[in-house]
Amino acid sequence: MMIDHLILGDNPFFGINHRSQTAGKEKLRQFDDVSKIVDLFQVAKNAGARGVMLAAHAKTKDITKKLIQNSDLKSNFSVYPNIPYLMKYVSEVTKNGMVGTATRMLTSDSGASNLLSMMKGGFGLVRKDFHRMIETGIDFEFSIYSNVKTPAIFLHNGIVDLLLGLQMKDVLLFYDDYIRQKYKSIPGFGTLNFAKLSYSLKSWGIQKPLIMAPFNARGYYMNPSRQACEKALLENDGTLLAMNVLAQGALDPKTAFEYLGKFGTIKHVIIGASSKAHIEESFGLAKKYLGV
Amino acid sequence: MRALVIGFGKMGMLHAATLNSLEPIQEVVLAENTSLIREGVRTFNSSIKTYKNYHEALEKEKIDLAVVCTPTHTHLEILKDLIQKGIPTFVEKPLAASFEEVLKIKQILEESPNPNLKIMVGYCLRFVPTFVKAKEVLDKKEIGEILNFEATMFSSDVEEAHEGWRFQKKNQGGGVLLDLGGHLVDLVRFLFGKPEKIKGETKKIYSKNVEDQVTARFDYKNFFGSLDVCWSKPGVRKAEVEIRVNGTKGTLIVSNDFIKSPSYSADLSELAESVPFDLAGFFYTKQWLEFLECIQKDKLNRNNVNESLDDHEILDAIRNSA
Repeated sequence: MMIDHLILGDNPFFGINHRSQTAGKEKLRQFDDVSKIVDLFQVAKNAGARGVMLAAHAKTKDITKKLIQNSDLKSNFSVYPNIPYLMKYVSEVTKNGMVGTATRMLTSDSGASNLLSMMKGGFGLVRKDFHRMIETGIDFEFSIYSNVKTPAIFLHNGIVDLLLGLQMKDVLLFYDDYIRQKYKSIPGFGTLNFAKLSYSLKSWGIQKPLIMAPFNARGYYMNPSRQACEKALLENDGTLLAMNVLAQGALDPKTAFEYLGKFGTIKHVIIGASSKAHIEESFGLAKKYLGV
Repeated sequence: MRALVIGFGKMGMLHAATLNSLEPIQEVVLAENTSLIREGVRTFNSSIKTYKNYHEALEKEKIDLAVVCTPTHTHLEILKDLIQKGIPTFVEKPLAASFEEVLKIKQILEESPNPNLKIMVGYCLRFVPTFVKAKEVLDKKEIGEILNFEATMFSSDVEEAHEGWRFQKKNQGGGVLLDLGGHLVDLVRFLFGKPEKIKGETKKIYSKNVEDQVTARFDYKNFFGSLDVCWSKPGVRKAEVEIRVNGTKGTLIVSNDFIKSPSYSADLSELAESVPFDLAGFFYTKQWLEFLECIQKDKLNRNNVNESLDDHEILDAIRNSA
């Protein structure tokens, strides 16, 4: 199984706008009705997209329920989970601390979890079986996507980069294996540190990893530098799902996709767009310059 | 350098992971009193040494840098020990729970064998380029003479009562004033200086023991400002800071996302910089790069004890006038 070449981003649906929180809130209001979100999926599909990334947000379950009511989307439009919904946990940890947050999550009967999963998490906590705790955490986060096709499941860059910084390769290896075995999906790794992650995953034995990372002509959020990320792209096997390709609006779409196209190996891109015109222009140019 | 991170909660993890990825740091050691967390670290990276407390770590390791990420009311005690041992220290904000405690830290430092020991307080917003640019705009008088300003900082973190240390009055280490308020007061002091007169008000919305909202009026010689900090504002995805300054020649608006003045406007993404390692925001790494350079070159760092003293003078004045 491979991932789709053109994927729609989800930031506007959850009120995320890295340039302006006010603009983000406006989008949240615009997409308050999940029907409008799913309508946009259809627009994106018509423009060539074959999937959407959806964070593990509270709204996601309603979005996927609506999606599967559309028979075309149900059969031909995949969902790419990005787990966990980090802002929720950052806020929880601020209020309840690390152990308090882990306890609540692992023993939660929130309706998104099931009794077995809750028991696994609880026993894991009591026996300090960290691998069982991680499994429970993943299962808990994934439960809202159980009704849709998920060719790949991405681990949020906040978690990946934390583990990368602490050199906790075992967690990343465990995640890789668990997603493949339990969910028969491709494990994806989000990161803001593409070069470091690429080389690290290679040295840790993860073959041809799927990495989602910023990649754009301005070098925005490309760490440690655009040049280092370009070198890592050339020197490492694997699939890059390029994000931030328009550099938060600083690049016009033609310049953005011309840049990505010149490498020849970038064939997958995620684009956040919330209007028909923007979607059609961006995905059209992506198809042209990436040859997909 | 070998770094000791004391407290492996949210900020401890962030700093440990970032430091572990920066050149001058050869090893990161952890001191964390929760055994479950220590065991988790050992399970997933057995090469990271963990200790039950910082005393044990200091006895067994040669530490070149300490990072204090423990509840605020513990900072004074820990700083005393680290200053006596001459260990450069980064402290998550605020430096301490009150002006008196920060003054004690300053006195301990001045009387220690190394009064120039480097101490940095984690007011990371000072490394966000929009606020740095805002200071330039004000210093160049692009908006003319300042007439007034409004400074706000909001989050939706607290929507019910909680029990953690942030929600206890213990030694006044809890409450939104020292939490979000510390950031905003530091930014206001950075941009406008210390006010001559302060009148504050505090309000409990959900919390039983501490304030959830603080408002204050600041009077300067020729202008005035207002401050509004609340961690219980609905609909805020992540903490928002905004400072609006009205001047005789125009208005400056600056937030953690953008800056807009009559002659200059930019989004944070346009001002963002690539860094050796980015976890949770490039400005956290920039903060570390500056502090590490100051330690290595024996230069005075920003966000030092004297600046914190000024910040706490304002914070205490808000609390005492409420």
